[in-house]
Amino acid sequence: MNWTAFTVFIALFAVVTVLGFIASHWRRGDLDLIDEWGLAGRRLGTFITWFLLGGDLYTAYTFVAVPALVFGAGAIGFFALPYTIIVYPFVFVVFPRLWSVAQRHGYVTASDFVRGRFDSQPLALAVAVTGIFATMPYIALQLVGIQVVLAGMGISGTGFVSDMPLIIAFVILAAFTYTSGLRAPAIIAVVKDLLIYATVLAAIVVIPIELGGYGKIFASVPASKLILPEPPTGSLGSYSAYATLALGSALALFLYPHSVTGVLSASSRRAIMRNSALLPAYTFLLGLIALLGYMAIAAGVGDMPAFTSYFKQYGPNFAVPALFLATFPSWFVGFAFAAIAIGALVPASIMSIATANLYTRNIHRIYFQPNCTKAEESKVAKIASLVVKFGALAFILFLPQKYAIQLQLLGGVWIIQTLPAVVLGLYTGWLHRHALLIGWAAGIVTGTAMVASLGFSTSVYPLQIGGLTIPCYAALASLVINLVVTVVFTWLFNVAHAKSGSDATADLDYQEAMP
Amino acid sequence: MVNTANDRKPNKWWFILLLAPFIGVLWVPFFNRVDPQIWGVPFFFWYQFLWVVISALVTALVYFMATPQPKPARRATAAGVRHSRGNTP
Repeated sequence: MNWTAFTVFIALFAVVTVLGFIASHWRRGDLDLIDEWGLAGRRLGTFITWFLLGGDLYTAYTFVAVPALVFGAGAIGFFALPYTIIVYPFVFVVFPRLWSVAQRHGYVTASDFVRGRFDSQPLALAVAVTGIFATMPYIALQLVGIQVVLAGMGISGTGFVSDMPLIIAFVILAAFTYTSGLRAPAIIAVVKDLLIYATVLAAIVVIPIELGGYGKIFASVPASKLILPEPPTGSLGSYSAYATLALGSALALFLYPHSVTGVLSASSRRAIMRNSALLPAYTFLLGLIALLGYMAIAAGVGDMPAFTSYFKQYGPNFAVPALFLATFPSWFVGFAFAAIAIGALVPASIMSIATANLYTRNIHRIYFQPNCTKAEESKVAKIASLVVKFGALAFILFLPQKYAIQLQLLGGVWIIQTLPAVVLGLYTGWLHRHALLIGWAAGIVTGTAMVASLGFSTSVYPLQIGGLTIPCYAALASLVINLVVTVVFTWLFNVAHAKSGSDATADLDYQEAMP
Repeated sequence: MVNTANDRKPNKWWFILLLAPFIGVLWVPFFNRVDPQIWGVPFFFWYQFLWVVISALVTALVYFMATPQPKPARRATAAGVRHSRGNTP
């Protein structure tokens, strides 16, 4: 048990807990309204939105899993960089339109928008359910981030007592999310970032000095891991895998409910545009964090006897904690581990809020309590956020970790199927509501089948096209099927004069309001 | 205020620039190489890090050139000037 590290860790965790509770007083609003609880009153400016989205998208799990992938599999893990580069030009163009139409019609979720645009209850339900199912395992994975750093401080093993710290962390998270809503992660994100930036800056300066410079680090990485392996003849090999993983992930990222919540809580569409140019700062940071995977290889943490049992239990995910333990003094290990654990609280909180918003607005209010008041709506959302979080906790405590990882893999494949309705829907109402639903189903089924055929171990499916093997991210391949089906059926429904819904939105709703 | 919005008709062609990052980082054969290195860092890595910066700058450029800018600064100054004049006897 590493007491110095643990003391620093607890102290920082305590500070954040206090902040989470007093956040409810910040820019005070009536937390009995879902707009206030679940979107912080849509009043977050460019600056806070930057911290919020940064904490939301670049999760603790990312900070553990990306270097772990680089450590274990090599350069392919670097796809996180092109992924988080190209996502921003896309967001810059598309998502201000979502913000504007949501602002004008009071939409809280993507499903709200789809319902207004396409006038289809089943389609809106499909979007909501997809969002909930894609996010749940993601919340569970944030806990893995906390678990790994707790283990690094000597708290691990089996049984109820060893799970206590994780349970306590989660109860705290649940409590401040319940009382403060989105304001809590918004405030905590600022603190978390200061810790993360300090940790990463220290890591990229101190560790290379100890290891003899960047040249030496890269020189000690085996050639097979340093760059992508040359594709064999008749296949596009790792090249198409790398590019499709980046593109597919980028298209999927902002369809996740927690991203939509981050976008809609901004105070203006301009705040989103500015953030598209500012958020790449986190991408740079992520790239540096990915390099920690190589530093872990160079430091040889995988062969250190002290860490053998941890690597056996946590796999490559233990690479970064091991690297920190091997290079930093205890107090700084505590600091760095607190950064990762707090980094898990922010997205877990936003994700549970986003899922709660979806459940409340698009399932509960529609199917169970059509006449609920604003206050009841907010109350249901708060309770739903608790249910979601304890569901995720139970998932991690009682099921093998690999299920969460596999489901999160599938989550990306599922959430991208809402792209035609949500993203294309921002531009055109031409797509037919029934066609969108059929396309969605086709995408979900084929995408899931692809991942299932690979034994749920990877989401890169080897497409066979005219004798050429194209390893492709299943999300992207199934999205293409979804799009083709949607367009063909739209045409068919139009030919058959099937009734399309009445569009509640007008073209001007998507644009900036003129002063 | 209506004419401030129409001061400068933003040119939508700037948006084409946003395609550059996609081409830059998705065409893998172009950058999947070790040399040239900078301070021992293989091309594969510094090239992609460079695109993080380029992509951010391109997005900022499009933001300033192609989206209509409200001009709060000028409005504020004008109001301030009027106000101070009003107070001067």
